[in-house]
Amino acid sequence: MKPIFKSFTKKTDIKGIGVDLISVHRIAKLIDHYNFETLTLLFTCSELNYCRSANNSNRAYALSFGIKEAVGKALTTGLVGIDWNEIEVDLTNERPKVFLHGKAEIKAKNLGIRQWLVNWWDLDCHVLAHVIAI
Amino acid sequence: MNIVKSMNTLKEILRELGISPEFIQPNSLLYQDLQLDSTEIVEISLALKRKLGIKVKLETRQDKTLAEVCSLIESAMSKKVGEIS
Repeated sequence: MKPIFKSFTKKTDIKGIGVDLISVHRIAKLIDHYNFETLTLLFTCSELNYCRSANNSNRAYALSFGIKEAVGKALTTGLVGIDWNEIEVDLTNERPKVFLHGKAEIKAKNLGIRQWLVNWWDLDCHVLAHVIAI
Repeated sequence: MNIVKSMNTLKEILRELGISPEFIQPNSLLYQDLQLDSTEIVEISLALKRKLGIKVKLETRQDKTLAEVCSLIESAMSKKVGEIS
């Protein structure tokens, strides 16, 4: 994956940065333990449908989870006052995309965030997610 | 659902997470005392949804005691009963 840092020009463009490191095994255990209905607390139906049919299903779940955490950090409050499924991650393309809904969308608007840049790395059974809000 | 039942459900979930029973006290704080991380906090919410069918958000600004979490469980249960009746 190409670096995303050339996508914006000025330092002042950055409204927030978030990073999260998540264990694929831990998320896999969690996913195995709960049914579709319960997991909608964390993921949207689109995310669940994509992740469970993905080639590397556990990594897709972990990446989605990690990006949500990273987005929460970039919004400065973590997941306080935001539902997990209000941050939606689209993994259908090489570069993940972030879509916000409800309280997460309002918070991002208040911070002047218009776009999310996402980068991620697969590190020895862990996924490192990095987001930049501009 | 009374406070005792809420606490018993919460204790059961925490034991399933591998927390030693001696640390599971009403005044124990989730982060400071039980040293839970964000994934474990999420797992408590998921377990409450599965066991009781309620949505309890535990990502809050301030660390919560187990007694405070029980209050949240009871509020969510009351809301659920209100929605059904």
